[in-house]
Amino acid sequence: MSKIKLTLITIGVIVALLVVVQIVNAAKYKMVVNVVEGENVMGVNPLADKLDFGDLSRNNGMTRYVTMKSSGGVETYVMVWKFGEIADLVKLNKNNFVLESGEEVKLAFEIQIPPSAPIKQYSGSVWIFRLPRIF
Amino acid sequence: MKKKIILGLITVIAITGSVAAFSAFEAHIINVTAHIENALRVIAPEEMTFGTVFPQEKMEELFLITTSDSFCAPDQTRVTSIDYKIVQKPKPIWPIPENCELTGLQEVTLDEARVYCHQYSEDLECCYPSLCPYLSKTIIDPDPEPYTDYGVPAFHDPDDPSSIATGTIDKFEDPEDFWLIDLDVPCFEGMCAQDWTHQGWELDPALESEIFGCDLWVEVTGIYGGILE
Repeated sequence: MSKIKLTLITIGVIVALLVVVQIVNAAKYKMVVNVVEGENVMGVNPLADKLDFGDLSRNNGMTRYVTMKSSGGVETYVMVWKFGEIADLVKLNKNNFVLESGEEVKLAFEIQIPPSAPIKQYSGSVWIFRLPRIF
Repeated sequence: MKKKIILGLITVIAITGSVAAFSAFEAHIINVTAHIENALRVIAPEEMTFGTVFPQEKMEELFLITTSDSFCAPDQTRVTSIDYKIVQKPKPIWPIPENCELTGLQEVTLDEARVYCHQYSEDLECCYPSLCPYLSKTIIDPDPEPYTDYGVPAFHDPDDPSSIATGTIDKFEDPEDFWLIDLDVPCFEGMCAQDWTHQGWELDPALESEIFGCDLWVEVTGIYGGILE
């Protein structure tokens, strides 16, 4: 095996390792909302095991918060990915930003149910990546 | 063949170990925690518009605060009760008008415009004249004793902490609260009818034909009652 090939394989393994580490270390939460019949219905579930937006009728909205706190000695780059059919309904107040050492940030996940939304449950996930900002 | 299997196993173990070690090392170095807050904010429906109204007219809108199906699930025994409050703040004009000083700033979000209007409500270039003092919040079908829901009549100082309606819902005893939002339209100074009883709450006639607004939302302030983990 040539040296170049070996070097490329080593780099590939290291990159793959780093990617896997980031995925393992990401904070992963489920997101769910139940769109219900009626007008001005706001069914809440404030439990913190997932980003549960409860039962909402059309035209209603809800904001849930995730607090991030840095206690380490290095700056952290924060990146949020949303997945699933709920992702298009959820807006985030802040994404792709640097969290300074000692800083605390509240991420607001705001869902707005459009007037045309079908009556059903929407679900998905959110992954919050925390990458050390070395450079 | 045996050699290959052993080599493969060693590789898998090495990779798994490296991932675990790297993950722990990185988590230790950056030490950033993330957690979901219990507090949440329910945004009042955009459709809650009263349209064109006339002085001393009364308009009503209903909304329902209840526990969600997931909260009421039989296996959810950690929490049974939720305290909340109905908060009101001056409303920003959205999209931001050209003559508002916020227009000069880059990419102002609705939340930032809200924060601005909550601080500078008197800036009528950016914020609607406030409708908040004229909105009552009344609970329909009050709970039997002990009362847990407290409304606010119209014509109140919106900055006074006692002007915030509060309530409690419980998944077993009191799973829903119906609230009536009642707009008690004020009159303009010098133009009030004889039966006007809210002296001091008259509006400046310069505001005639203006659009008024108020941001209303529900905030969860506490959860309790079950077997909290």
